[in-house]
Amino acid sequence: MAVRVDAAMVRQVAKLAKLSVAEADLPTVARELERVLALVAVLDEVDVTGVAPLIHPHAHGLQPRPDVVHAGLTQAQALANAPAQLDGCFLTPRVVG
Amino acid sequence: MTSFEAVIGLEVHAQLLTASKIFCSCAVSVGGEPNTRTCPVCLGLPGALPVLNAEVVRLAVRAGLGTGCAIQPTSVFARKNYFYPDLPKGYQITQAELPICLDGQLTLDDGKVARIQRIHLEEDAGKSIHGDSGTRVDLNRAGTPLVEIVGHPDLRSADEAVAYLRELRGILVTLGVCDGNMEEGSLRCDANVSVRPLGQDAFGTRVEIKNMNSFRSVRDAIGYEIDRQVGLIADGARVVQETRLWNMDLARTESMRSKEEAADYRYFPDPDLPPLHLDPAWLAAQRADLPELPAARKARYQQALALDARTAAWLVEEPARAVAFDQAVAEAPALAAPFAAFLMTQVQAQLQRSARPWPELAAAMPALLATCGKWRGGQLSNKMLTELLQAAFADPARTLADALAHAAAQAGAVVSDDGALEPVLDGVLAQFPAEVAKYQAGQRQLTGFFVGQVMRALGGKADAKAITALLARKLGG
Repeated sequence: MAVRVDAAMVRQVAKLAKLSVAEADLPTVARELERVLALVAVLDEVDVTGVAPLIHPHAHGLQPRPDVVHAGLTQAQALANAPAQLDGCFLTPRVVG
Repeated sequence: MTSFEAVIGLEVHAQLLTASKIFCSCAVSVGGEPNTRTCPVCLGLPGALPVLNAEVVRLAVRAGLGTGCAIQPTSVFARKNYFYPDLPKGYQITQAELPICLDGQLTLDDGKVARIQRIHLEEDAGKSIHGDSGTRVDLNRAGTPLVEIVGHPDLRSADEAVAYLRELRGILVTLGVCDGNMEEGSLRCDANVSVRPLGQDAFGTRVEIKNMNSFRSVRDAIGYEIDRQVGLIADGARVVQETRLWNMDLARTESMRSKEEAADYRYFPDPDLPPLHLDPAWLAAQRADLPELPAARKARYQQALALDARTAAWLVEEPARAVAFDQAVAEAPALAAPFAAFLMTQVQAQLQRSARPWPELAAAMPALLATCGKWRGGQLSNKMLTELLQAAFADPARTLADALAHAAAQAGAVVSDDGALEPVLDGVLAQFPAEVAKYQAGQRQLTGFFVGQVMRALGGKADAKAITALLARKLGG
């Protein structure tokens, strides 16, 4: 079934993904997203009656590890790629809430 | 005026007692320099893959078994997507549609059953410290294993919410799932609170309260919020669906953010983690491995050891206390009830004034039991007991067990033989002829008066039972 994508939906998706999309580009992006969704919608044509949902292609399931501590990174290594740091912490613009 | 009823459901996060994080081998601990317990996995570096900690599974299953949940043979990890600086991957790994435990329940002291909807596994985020120069992020906590225990909205008062939380904490601590420390944040509680006119089925608008880090905060915050919502409705206003923070200093809840825009977390199964399958034989072994839970222990205390309900509840509330008590009275079950009362009153009073930690008290249980036995047997008077406990608890140079032995030696022996008591009692009787006459005329309640006088004359170090017996013999009992 074809999904209609309008400008408002593109705006919402862009906001959730922290992407900035110019107002002028909204109709184009909407049409592109519709085409992507139409492609995926082909799967809706497959009859899956009685087929258990496939959560993961790996048949064996998780292989947990023992609860053993190993040394990780030093503070300097952890912060090596940080654009800004302060008092041994990553520093970001102030966020509240 | 319309009567209202509160509808409360708790979401409890419990930090699991593991050595390493949930998806990597970094150490789990509190404090220390920031960003010194991290690795590419918990920093969310590209290409790093999560590997589940087996102990996390065991502890979550214990939590589920202890709360009567159905343990799910297959559960699935999912990504909860949102952006925040202390969440390096841009998503939290949690469980959504298929959590590890479903449909449990807790039975509260008054017999009320509060249902548990689900228990799921998830990773903790890092810590944000907001300051003038920006937000500092410490990722030592990122990836710490948690279970979230989601309760149904079955609770109807702040007291019921506290009772639920106490019961849950007791189970988690007894099972070794969590240390239960609310002040340090290893047990955290959020409450969903709404009110509705009594008799109405539909729920009112729900407010989520966060930032409650003690039982008292939970009781006060929920109580405040119920009053606030009832007040709004009584004034003709409406309750806004929002998240509010408990401000302990001002004793009120404060608006944090409104949920006009419903959160959109876009959950989906995490492709990095295949489903978790539990082996039925392993699960059966876990079930067989459960220790006595607080409710059963409390029932045993009342039935087998003849403790009253209040004392039994007090002992059970702190599992370490109950375990130490059990070990101490194993050899002396007849002393169990008086010893429990002794712990709850005399010892607890000293404990509240001292800095003695519980582990030390646990180690001193045999010495405390011996002290209680001497007091019950009349070898220590009330006054001697109080002084002995005070001296022992205030003795910083010794462990409590040693301090009790030392104080007992210092206290000396109680005067209990008639040869020593008789001249003192004779002196008292000569001093109070009017009271003697009244006693002989049948006012037996004056016994306490005479015993008190003798006790005073002997500096409190006398055996009250011996004085009573002597008095009866002298004046005719």
